[in-house]
Amino acid sequence: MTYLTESTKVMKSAPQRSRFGTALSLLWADKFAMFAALFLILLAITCMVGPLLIGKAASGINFAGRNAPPSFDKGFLYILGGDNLGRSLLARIIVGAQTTMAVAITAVAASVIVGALLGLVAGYRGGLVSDVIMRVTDMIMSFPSMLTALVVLYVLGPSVSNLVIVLAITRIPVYLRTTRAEVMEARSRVFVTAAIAMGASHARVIFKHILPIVLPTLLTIAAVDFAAVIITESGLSFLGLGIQAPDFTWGSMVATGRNYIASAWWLSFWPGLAITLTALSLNILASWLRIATDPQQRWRLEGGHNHD
Amino acid sequence: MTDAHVPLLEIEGLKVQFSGSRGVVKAVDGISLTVERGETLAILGESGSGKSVSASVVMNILDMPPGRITAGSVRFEGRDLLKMTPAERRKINGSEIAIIFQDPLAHLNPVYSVGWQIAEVFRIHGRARDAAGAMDKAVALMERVGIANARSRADQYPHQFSGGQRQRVMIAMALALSPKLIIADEPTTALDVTVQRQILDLIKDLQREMGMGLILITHDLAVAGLMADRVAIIKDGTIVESGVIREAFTTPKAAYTQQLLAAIPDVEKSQRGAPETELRPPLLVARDLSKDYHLSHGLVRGSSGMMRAVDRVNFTLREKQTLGIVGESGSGKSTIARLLMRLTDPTSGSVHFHGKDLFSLRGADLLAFRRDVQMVFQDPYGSLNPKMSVADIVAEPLAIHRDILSRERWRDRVRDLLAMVGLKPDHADRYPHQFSGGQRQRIAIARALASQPRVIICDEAVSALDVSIQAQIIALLADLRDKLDLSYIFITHDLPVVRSFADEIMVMKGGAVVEYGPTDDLFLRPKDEYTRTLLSAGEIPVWMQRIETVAHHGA
Amino acid sequence: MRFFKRSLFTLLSMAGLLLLVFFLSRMTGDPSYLFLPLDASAADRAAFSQLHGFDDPIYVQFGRYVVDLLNLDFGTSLSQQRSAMDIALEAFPHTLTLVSMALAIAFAGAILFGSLAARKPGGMIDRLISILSLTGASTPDFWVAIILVLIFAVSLGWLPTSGVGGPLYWIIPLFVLVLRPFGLLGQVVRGSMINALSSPYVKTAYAKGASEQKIIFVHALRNSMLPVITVAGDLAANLLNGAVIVETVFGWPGIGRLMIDAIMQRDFAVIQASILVTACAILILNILLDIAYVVLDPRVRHA
Repeated sequence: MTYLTESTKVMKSAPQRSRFGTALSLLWADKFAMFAALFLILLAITCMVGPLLIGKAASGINFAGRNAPPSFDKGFLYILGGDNLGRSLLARIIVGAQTTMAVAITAVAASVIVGALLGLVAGYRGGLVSDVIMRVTDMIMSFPSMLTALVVLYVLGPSVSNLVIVLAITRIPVYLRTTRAEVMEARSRVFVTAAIAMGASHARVIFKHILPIVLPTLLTIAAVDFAAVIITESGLSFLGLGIQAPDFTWGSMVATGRNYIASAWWLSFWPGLAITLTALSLNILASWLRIATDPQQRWRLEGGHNHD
Repeated sequence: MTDAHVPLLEIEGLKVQFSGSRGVVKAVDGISLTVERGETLAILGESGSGKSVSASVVMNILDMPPGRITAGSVRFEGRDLLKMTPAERRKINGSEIAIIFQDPLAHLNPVYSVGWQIAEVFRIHGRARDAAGAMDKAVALMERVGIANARSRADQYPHQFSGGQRQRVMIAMALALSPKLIIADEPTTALDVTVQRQILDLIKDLQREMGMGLILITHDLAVAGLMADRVAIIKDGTIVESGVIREAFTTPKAAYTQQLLAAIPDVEKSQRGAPETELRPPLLVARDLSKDYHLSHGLVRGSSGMMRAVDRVNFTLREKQTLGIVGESGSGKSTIARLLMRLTDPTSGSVHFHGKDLFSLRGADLLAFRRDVQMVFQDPYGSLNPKMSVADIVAEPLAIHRDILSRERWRDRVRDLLAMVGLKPDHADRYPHQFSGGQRQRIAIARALASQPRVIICDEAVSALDVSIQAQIIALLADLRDKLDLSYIFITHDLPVVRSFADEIMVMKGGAVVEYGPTDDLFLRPKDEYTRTLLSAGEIPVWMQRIETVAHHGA
Repeated sequence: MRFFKRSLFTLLSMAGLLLLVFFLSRMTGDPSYLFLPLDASAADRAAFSQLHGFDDPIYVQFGRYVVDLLNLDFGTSLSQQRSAMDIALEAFPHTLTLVSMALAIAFAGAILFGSLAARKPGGMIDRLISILSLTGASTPDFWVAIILVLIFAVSLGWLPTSGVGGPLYWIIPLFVLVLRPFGLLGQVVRGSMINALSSPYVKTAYAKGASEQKIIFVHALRNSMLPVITVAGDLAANLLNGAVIVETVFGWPGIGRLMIDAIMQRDFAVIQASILVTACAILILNILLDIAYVVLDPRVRHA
C-alpha cells in the first residue's frame, strides 16, 4: 500500500543520550552558566560542611584582631580581615551563608509549594475559586513587598520564623500567577483535551499532562526568585527588621559593617560581594535554564557542535 | 534565444542551508528557475520542500543565522541581488519586487492602522509628496482591491478586518508601486474556500492589468492549475519537474509528480463500501442539537450578547458508515465535535448513543462511552504530549480504562496498533518530535484505536497535512473502517476530501444545516445555493479533471 | 475597564493593609507598651489608654477609626504632635521626584540597551548587555550605596555622603535606585524585542523596503512595549522598595524613611498615613500605565 512508503523515512534522531548528559553538554555550551553552576555547587558544599569546620572562629571574640585589614600574614582565617570584635570575616561569611541560604530556601520552598498549589487550583478549576485567589494575589502584588514586610515584621516582631513567613507571603503571588497562566495554557493544549475526551481522571490530567509542562517554568522562576529573596532578606536585615543578633546573615553583616565603613571597608564589602555573586549566579543559571528548556531557543546552545 | 534577452528573474544553482539542533539541513539544494515579464510561475511543493525559503532569499528576509546561502545567484533584470548592498536591496523591495504572505493577520502590524501601513510603502520609497498624499494613494488602492468604504476603513486596525479583507490589504500593499514581480507565498491557504477563489481572481485580474511577473508558491495543485503558465515542482530542496503546466501535469515525468496527481480526489476512486439497499441500524442520533455561547464584554455580564454556534441540528450516524460534516470557519462544525465528545454541554437538544441519552451519562456509564467513542484531532503536533513516548501515548486509553487489558500485555498491543496504522513496532520508544506530520497523525489514530471504539470522530484530521499524505491517511481510515467495523464522523472544511470517503454529507453554515444527504446526491444534484458555491470553489480546473494518472493504483 | 479593575484592587489592598495594621497592632498586646517608655507607671498607662480610646472594645475603636478616615482625619503623630497626613504629604514629594527620575532613567536605558541586545541575539553585544543587566538585577542596593559612598564621598571626596541639596546630592542615590529596575526591565525589553523582531509583520516591513532603524523603532518597539508596560506596574512597587533603602542610607527625607522612622518610634498614625499616600501613588501610576497601554495597543481599545 502506498501509505507505507511514508513511514519508512522516520527522521534520523540524535543518538540517545541520558537527560543528565544532555543537560551537561548544554551547560558546557554556555560558559557563564557553567561558572555560575560551579559557584553554586561550591556554595552548597560550604554551607553544609563549612560551619562544622570553622564555626568556632566565627564566634570567638579576639580583641587583638579588631577590624584587622585583609592580609595573608595572620593565617587563612584572616584573609578577608577581622570584624569589629576581631572575629574572622571568612568564618563569619561561611556561617552567615548557612543562615542566609536556610532562610531563602525555606521561604522559596514554601512560596513555590503554596503558590503552585493555589495556582494549579485556580488555573484548572477556573470560576469563582480562581477569581477569589487572583483578587487576593493582585492585592498583595499591588503594594511594595518591602513595605508590607516591614509593617508585618513590625507588628509581629522580628524573628527568623516571622521573616521566613513574610518573605514567603510576598513571593507567593509570583508563583501563583505563573502557575495559573501556565496551567490555563496547558489546559487549552489539544493533548489535554484529548486525554479528557478519552476519560482521563483529573489526577491523571494534572500529574501526567499538565505538571510536566509547567514544572520547568516554575524551576526557572524559583532560581530568579531565590536571588530576589536573598536580596530582600538582606535588605530587611540591613534595616534592622530581619535577622536579630546573635543570629546573623550576610545582610546584617553589611549593616554592622556600615558603622565602620570609613575605617574598615572590608566589614561591609565581603558579605555584600557574597550576596551579589550568589544572586548573579542564580540569575545567570535561570536565564540559561530558560533557553535550555525552550525547544525554540535551544539551538542557540546546541548549534555548532552537534552535527552528528 | 538572443543575447539581448534578459529574463525578469533568474535564479541559478541556489543553495541554502539551515543549522539547527539536528545538524545542517539543506533546505534549498541547487534550484534554478526563470520568470518572464507578465508570466505566472507556480512553485509547487509540500511543507519543508524549500519553496518558501527561495522566496525569502529573493526578498532578503531569510533569517541568517540559522540560514545561510552557500551557492548560486539571483538575477533580477540581469543584476545579481545577492551581490547588492542592503541599501540597494531595500530600494528594490516593495517598489520592484513585492510579496504577499500566507497569514495576513500575522503579517500586518497589529498596532498601526491599515491605511498607515499601505501608505508607508509610498513614504519609504519617496513616492508621495507628504503623509496626506500617501494616505490618499493608500485609500485609492484599497478601493481598487475591493474594500468598501475605503476612506473610513483606512483608519481601522488589522484585527477589525476579516481574513479575506486582510489579504486584500496585503495585496494592496504589494501593488502600491506597481512592481515588476510579485511573489505570492500560499496567498489563500489560511482562508475559507469560498474566499480563496475571490482572492485568486483578484490577483489574476491585477496581474493582467499591470503586466507583472508572478511567482505563486503553493502546495495546491488545483490553485497552480488555475493560475499558472509554467510550474516548477520542488521536493526536498530540488526541482523534480518543471515546464509548461499543462504538459507537466498531463505527461508527468517524475514519479513524485505522478504521486501528487494521484492524490487529487477523484470521482471514480470511491472508497465507500458497496451501496446497500437497506439501512444499517443507527448508532449515534442527534436531535435538535443547539449550543449558545455567551459573548461577555468586560465586567458587566448583563451587557453580553449570545452567539448561536449550533442551531437545531439533526443527524444520524449509522453503523459502519461515515458521516461527513462540511463547513467553513464559524459554521459550528467543531462545536458539534465538542458536544459529541461531552467536552461541553448543549443548550438544548439531545444525542443518543446506542439508545442512551449522552448528556445524562454519569460515572461508569460516561467512562464506558469515552471508551466507545474516540477522537482524532486536526493538529498532529498539538494532540500528542511532547513529553511522553509513543508507547505511553498509544497505551494511554489502556491506562485510563484499566479493564481492557492487563498491564503486561500493553506492549504487545501497542506494537500491533502501530503496525495496524503503518508504523514500525520499534517506533514505540521514540518521542513525537521525531516524527513527521503524517506519522504523528498515524500515532493519534493508533491511540484512538487502542480502546477498540465503535465511533471515531475526526475533526479536520487531515487538514494540516500535505496533499499526498492526506490521501494516504484517508486510505488508512477507510481500510480500518472495513477491518474493524468502525463508524466515522469526519469533520472538514474541504468538500472534495470527503467525496470518496463519506456515505452521507451534512453541509453547515452559521451553525445551521443547509444540506444533508447521501454523498453522490449532494455532489451531483446540490439543492442549496451555498453547497453549489462550496462545490465550485473547491473545483479542480476542467483540463485537470481529464488527467489520466499512471499511478492509478496509488492512494 | 482594566484600570478600573486595577484601581479597585489597589484600594482593596490598601484597605487590607490598614486593617492588618489596625487589628494586629491592637491584638498583639496593650498598645501602651508599644507607645510609652518601659518604666511608665500603671496610672500613666491607664491615662494613655483612655486618652487614645484604647480602653474601648476593639469594634468601637475600629468604628471610630473608619469614621475619622471618612472625615479625612488620619490621626495625630505621637512623636511630633501634629497631623500625620501633613507629615506624610511633606515627605512624599521628595520620594516622588527621586523615584520618577529613576524610573525614567531605567526605562530609557532599558529600551536603548535592550533593543541593542535584541538586534543580534547571542552576539557579543547581547552577551555583554545581558551580563550587565543581570549584574544590575543581582546587586543589593544598600551594599552598592555604601560602597559608592565609600569611594566617591569618603575616599575621593567628589560627592556628598548624604542629605538633600544641589545636583551632586542626586548622583549616588539615583544610580543606586536605577540599578535593579534597569536590570530587570532591560531583560524584559530584550526578550519582547527579540519576539517582535522575529514576528511576521517585521518580515513584511523588510519586504516593503523599510530601513533597520525604522523597523526597530517604528514597527517593533511599539509592539515590544506592551509586555514592558505590564511589568512596569510591578516594577513601580519594586522601586518603592529601593526607595526605602536609599532614603535610609542617604538621609533622604522621603516617605520611605518616614515609614522606617515611624516603625522604629512606633508612631502608629504616621505609618497608616504613609501607607495611604503610597497606595494612592501606586494607584495613580497604574492608571497612567493603563492609559499608555490603551494608547499603544488598538486591540485593547476595541475589545
